[in-house]
Amino acid sequence: MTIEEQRLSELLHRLTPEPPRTVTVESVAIRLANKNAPARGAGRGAAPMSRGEPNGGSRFSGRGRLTPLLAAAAVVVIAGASAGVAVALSSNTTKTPSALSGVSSSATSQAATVSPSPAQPGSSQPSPEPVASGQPVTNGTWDSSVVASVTLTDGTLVSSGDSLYAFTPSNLLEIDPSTGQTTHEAPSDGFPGQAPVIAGNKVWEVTTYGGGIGLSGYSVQTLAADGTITVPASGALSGNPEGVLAAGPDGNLYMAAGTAVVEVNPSSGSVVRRFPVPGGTVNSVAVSPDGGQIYAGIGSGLFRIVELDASSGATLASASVGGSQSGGDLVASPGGVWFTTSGGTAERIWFAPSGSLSSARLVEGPAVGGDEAVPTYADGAVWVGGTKKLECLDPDTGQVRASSLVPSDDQVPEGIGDVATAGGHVFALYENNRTEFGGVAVLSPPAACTSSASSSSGGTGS
Amino acid sequence: MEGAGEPEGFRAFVEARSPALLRSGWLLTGDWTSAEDLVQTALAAAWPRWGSVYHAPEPYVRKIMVNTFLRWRQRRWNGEVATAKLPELRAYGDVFAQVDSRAALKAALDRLPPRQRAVVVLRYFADQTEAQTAETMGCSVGAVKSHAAKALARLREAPGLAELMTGGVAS
Repeated sequence: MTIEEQRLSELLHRLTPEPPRTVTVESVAIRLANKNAPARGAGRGAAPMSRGEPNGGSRFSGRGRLTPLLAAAAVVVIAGASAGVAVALSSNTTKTPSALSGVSSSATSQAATVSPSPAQPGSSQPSPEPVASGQPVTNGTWDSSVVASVTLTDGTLVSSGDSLYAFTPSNLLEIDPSTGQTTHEAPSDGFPGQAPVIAGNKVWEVTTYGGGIGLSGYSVQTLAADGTITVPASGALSGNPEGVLAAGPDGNLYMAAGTAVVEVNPSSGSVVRRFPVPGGTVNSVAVSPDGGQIYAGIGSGLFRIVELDASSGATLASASVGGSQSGGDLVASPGGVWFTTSGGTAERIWFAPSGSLSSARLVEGPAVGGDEAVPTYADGAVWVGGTKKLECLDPDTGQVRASSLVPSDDQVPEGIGDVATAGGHVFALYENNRTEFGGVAVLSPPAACTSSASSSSGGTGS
Repeated sequence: MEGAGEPEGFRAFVEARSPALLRSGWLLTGDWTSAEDLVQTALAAAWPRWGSVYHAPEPYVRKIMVNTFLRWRQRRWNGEVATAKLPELRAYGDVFAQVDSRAALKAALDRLPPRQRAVVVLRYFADQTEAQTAETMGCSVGAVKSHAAKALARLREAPGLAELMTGGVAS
C-alpha cells in the first residue's frame, strides 16, 4: 500500500462508528423464515396492510412453527397452503395449484419470445391467466397486491410466458404468479447488477465479467443448470458494467464484450456476429424489439450511446447523452432507447429517439429524497418506478401516459420496481422498507398505459 | 446457547463478527438501517450453506454483502428512512472534529460509484488483499486496481477529506 492508501485505511478504521445495536442469530432466523414464506394469500378475507401495524404480527403469525432449520423446505409446504387459496378463488384456472413440476407447455413454447409485443388496441386479447389472490397494499399503486412475498433483488424481475424470474441475493427463482409459489430455485452466483435474460428456452445469468465473460444457462421449466457459454471479448471489459447482456427477438444473446457487441447463439454457444463499436468500451447493450438496431452504451469517459444497424453493423447514430460519466441500463423500445445515469444516489432516466440520439431528453428523476428504478419495456409500454411514483410511458415518443404516486408508510417510502408481464397481468417488484414486507405485486394499471393512443399525463391516483 | 436447528458455530460467528460486518455495511450504505439489512441478508444466505462455508464463513458473508449492495445499485428504496442516530462517541478528544470528519468521510463515499465504494471498503477497511477483493467482487485483480485508483482520485478531491488523507488536519 502507498502512504495515501495507508492513511485512507487508518481514516476508515478510526472514523467508522461502532454500530448502535448488533445483529442477533434470532433476527437472522426471522429473516430467513420471512424470506421463505409466501404471501399470506388470504384473498378476499384479507385485511389490507395497515400503516403502523408491523406486518409480522399478522402475516407471520405462524412464525413460531416455522423454525429456521425448516425454513428452506417450508417454502414448498406453506406455498402449497397459499396455492390452495389461490385456486379456490380462481375457478377458471388451468393450472394445478400443487403442481411444482414447472410451467405450462404454452409457457414453454413462448419462452424464446424475448421481446414483448406492443399492445394492440381494440384487438381481442387472450384471457389472462388467473393470478394468486394476494395481500392488498394500503393505498397501493394501481391497486397493487402482493402475490408472492419473497425478498428479491431490485432490477432483476423478468418474465417468460406465464412465469416470472428474479434473483435473490443468492438464488435464481422461478415464480408462478397464478399461485404465488416459487416453483423452482437454483443457486446463483451471478455478476451483480445484471438481470437474468431469457433466450433459447433458458434463463441466462452473467457469472463472470472481468478477465473473461462467462454465462450460465438454466432451463426455463426447471431451472436445472443447462450449459455455460464463454464469450470472447475484444479488448478489456468495462469496469462499470450496467446491463451487459440482452436478448434479441431472434432469440440470440447480445453481449457487451469490450469494444464490440457479440451476438451469440444460445443453443450452440457459438458467436454469430461481432459488431465493433467505435468510440470506447461497451458497458451496456440493448436490441430493438424488431431486431433492426443494436444500442451500445460506452461507459468510458462521458457516457455515449452508439446505434448500430443490426444487418450491416454500420453506425446509424452516436452521441454523448445524459451529461454524465456514469450511465447504462439500456432498454430498447420501438421509438428509441432508454437509459439511466447516476451521480451518487441521484438516478435519472432518459429517452433517446432512434436515429436522433443527441436529442435525448430527461424523462424522470432525480427523485428528491428517493430513488428511480430502471425502466422496463413490457406490454406495449415503458414503465418507470421508484419510491416516488410509477409511470407508464409511450414507447415510441417517451411521453407519459399515466402516473401514480407510490405511497410511503409512516414516512418511510415504499418502492415499486421492475415491471414485467406474465399471463396477461402486470407485475412489479414491491417493497415496504419499514415493515420489510414485499415481493411481487400484481397491478391494475389504467388502460391508457397499454393503449397506443397516448393520453395526457394526468395522475390516476392510487 | 445455540437454538434448535441452528448450525454449529453460527452463533459464535455472528456474535464475534457482526459488529465488524455492520461497520462495513455502514461504509457501503451510509446508514445503519441498510447496514443491518445487508448483514442480515448475508447471514440468512449463509445459514443454509453453513456446512460448506463454516471453515471460513467471513469471505462468503462478505461476498453476499457486496453482491447484494451492488445489486441494489444505489436504488435501495430507503431514500427517506430516518437514519439511526449516531451512537454516542467514545472519543474523549475533539468530538466535534470527529463528527465533522465522519460526515466528510460519509459524503466522500457517497460520491463514489458502487463498485469503487465496495473496493474501498474491502481493501482499506476489511483489509483484504487485491486478490481477495477480486474474488469477493467476482472481477479481475486489474479491475480492483482500476477501481481503487479511480476511487482514490475522487476521494482526493472530496471536500474535507483531502486534508485528512494528506494528514493536514488531525481530528
